[in-house]
Amino acid sequence: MVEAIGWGVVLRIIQAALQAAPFVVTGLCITALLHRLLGHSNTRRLFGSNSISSLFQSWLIGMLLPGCSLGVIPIVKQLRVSGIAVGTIFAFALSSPLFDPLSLLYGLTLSKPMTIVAFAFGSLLVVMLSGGLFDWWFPQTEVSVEEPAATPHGVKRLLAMLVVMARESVSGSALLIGCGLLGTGLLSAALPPGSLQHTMSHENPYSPLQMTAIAIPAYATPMTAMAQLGSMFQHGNSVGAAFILLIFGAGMNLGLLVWMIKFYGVRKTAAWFGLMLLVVLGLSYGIERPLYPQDIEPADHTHAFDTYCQPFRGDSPPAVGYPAEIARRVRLETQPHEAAGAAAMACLVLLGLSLTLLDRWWVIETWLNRAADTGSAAPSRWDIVVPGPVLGGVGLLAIVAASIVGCFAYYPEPSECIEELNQARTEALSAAMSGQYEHALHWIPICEGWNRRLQVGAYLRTGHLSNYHRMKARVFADRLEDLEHLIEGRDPPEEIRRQVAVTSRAFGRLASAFREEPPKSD
Amino acid sequence: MADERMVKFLVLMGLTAVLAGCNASPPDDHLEHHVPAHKPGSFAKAVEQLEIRDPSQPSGREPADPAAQQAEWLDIIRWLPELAAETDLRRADWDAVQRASLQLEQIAVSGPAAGAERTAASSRYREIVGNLRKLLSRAGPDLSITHDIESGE
Repeated sequence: MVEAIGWGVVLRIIQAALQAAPFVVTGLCITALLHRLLGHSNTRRLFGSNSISSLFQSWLIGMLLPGCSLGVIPIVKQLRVSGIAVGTIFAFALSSPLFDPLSLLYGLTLSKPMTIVAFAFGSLLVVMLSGGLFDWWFPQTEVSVEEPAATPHGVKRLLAMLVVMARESVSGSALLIGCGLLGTGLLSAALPPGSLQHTMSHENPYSPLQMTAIAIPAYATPMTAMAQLGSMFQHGNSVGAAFILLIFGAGMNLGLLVWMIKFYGVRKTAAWFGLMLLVVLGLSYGIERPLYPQDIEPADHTHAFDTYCQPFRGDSPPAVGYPAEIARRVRLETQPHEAAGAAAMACLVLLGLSLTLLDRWWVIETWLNRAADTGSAAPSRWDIVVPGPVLGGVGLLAIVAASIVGCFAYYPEPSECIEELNQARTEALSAAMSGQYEHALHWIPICEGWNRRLQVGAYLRTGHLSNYHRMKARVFADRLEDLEHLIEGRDPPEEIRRQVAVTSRAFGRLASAFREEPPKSD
Repeated sequence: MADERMVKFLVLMGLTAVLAGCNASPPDDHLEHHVPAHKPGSFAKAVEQLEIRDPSQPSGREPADPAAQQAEWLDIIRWLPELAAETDLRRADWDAVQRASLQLEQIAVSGPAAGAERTAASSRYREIVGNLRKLLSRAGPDLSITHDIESGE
C-alpha cells in the first residue's frame, strides 16, 4: 500500500513537472524580458500599481500572456522587485494561468461557451475585489529595489536575457516550483484511486467547498483545467465547483502560497487569501443555479479528477514493477511540446549551475554590463539602436502572437484530426475487442482528446461549428465513455464487443460528417 | 516566529490529510450514466413514442400522473436531435429534425389549448411527427441498443 502511494506521488510529480515545463520556460523568458529590457520603471508603467486600473491592467496582461501557476512564480518575483503592490501582482498571478489562446478556444467550443465568458468575467471580479480591498488595507506593499544596470545593446542584451533565465532556473524560483509540484504529489497521496469520481455533484451544496480543498494544492495547466471544466459540464457537475477549479486549480499552488508567506508574512497572506476565498466562494454559490446547463442529464460520477488521485492501487501493482510502469506511462503520455519544454529546462538548469560555479572566478554579468568600445567609427545610418523597452514590448507581443499561431499547430485541419483520431480509435477499439483492456483504457482518452481537437480545429478555421457536427462529436464522446465504463467495470466481453461496434459506427458518422459536409454555418 | 509556527502547522495538517487518505478505501469500480427508463433506444423508437403520446389522441384511460407524463413527452422531444445524430441522416435531414424538435417543444410547453387553437396545434403536431416518420427511410437500420445495455434492461 505504502509502496503504491509512494510511487504514485513520484508519477504525479513527474507528470505535473512535464506539463509545467513549457510554461515555466515561457515564464522565465517573460521574467528576463522584464528584468533586462523593460527595467523596473517600465514594468511598473506596464502593470501599474496600487490602483483599480492597475488591477485591470494586470488581469488583462495575465489573460493575454500564456502561463501556468508554476510558470508565473519567477514573474511575480520580478514584479515584486519592480516595486509593484501585492494586489496588482496577484491580479496577474491569478489571471495568467486561467486562460491562454489554446484553452480559450477549447472553452469556446464547449456546449455552453457563455459559461466560459462568464468565468473570465468572474475572475476579473475576483482580482478586482480581493486585490482592491487588500491594497486598501495594506497600502505599503511596494518594495524599493535599485534599478539594474542597463545592458549594452546587441548580442550582449540577448545573452543577458539567457543568463537571467538560467540563473532563475536554479534560484529560489526553482524551490518554489518544487513546492508547487510537491503539493500535487501530496494531494495524490491523500486521495485513494478514483476517490473523487462521485463528488462535485450539482445537488451537493458542499461541492464548491470540497473543490476548494482539492484545488488549492492541485496543479493544472490552463488546458488541463479547461478539459476538466468540459468534462464537468458534460457530466452535469456543480458549476460553482467548476469555477473554483479554474480559479484555484489553475491559478494557485502551494509554491505561490509559500512565496507569499516568505515575502509578505502570514498575516498579509492570510488576509489576502481570506478575501479571495470569500469572493470566490460567494461567486461560485451565486452562479450555481443561473449557469447550470438545463439540457444535461447529470451523471453520478466524473473522471475529470482522477488525475489528482493516487494512480496505483495497492492491491493490484503493475506486473512490470512501479519504475517501469512510470517510465511507460511517461513515455506514452508526454506530448512533444512538453518534451521540448523539459529539454529546454534541463539546458537552462545546466547553464545556471555552470554559471553559479563560474561565479567564484568570473561573474558574467560584469562583462555583459560593460559597454562595448566602439572606437571612433560612426554608426551606420541604418544601424539603429532599438531601446530596451521597445524590444521588451515587442518580445511580449511576440510571445502572445506565438501562442496564437501555436493554436493552428495544436488544433490541425479537421482532415488531419480525423486521420489521427482514426489511428487512436483503431488502437482503442481493437484492444477492447481482443481483451487488452489496459491498452484500450490508455487509448480512449487520446481518442477523446482528438475528438475535442477536431471540433476546435474546425471552429478555428471557419469561425463556427454547426450543431450537426457538434452533436456527432458528442455522440462519439458519449459512446467512448460508455465503452470506458464497461471496461473499467469488468463487464462481460460480449457487451464490450457490442459497445465497440456502437462506438465504431459513431466514429464512422463523425468522420463522414466532417469529411463530406463542411462544418460551416447552420 | 509566528510565521514559522504557521508553516509548521500547515505541514502537520498536510501530513494528517495524507495519512487519512492512505487509510480510506477506494470506491466501487462500476460506473455508468443513468439513462431514464423512458429514453427511447433509437430515433425510430422516439418517433414511434411521439405518435403514441400524441396529446390529441385519447389513450382510453386517464394517466396516473399527467405531470410526469407531460415531462417524459417533453424529454423525448428534446432527445430527438441526439438520437437522430446516431443515425445515417445527412446534415440537411438532421437540421430538419432539430427544427422539428424545437417546434414540437413549443407546442408541448404552450400547454393545452381550446377550440380551434387546439385543433390547429394537434394537426401541426401530427404533421411534424409525420415528417419525422418520412425521414426514417433515410436514417438507416435501427441498430442502436446502447441505452438498453446501460440501463441494464
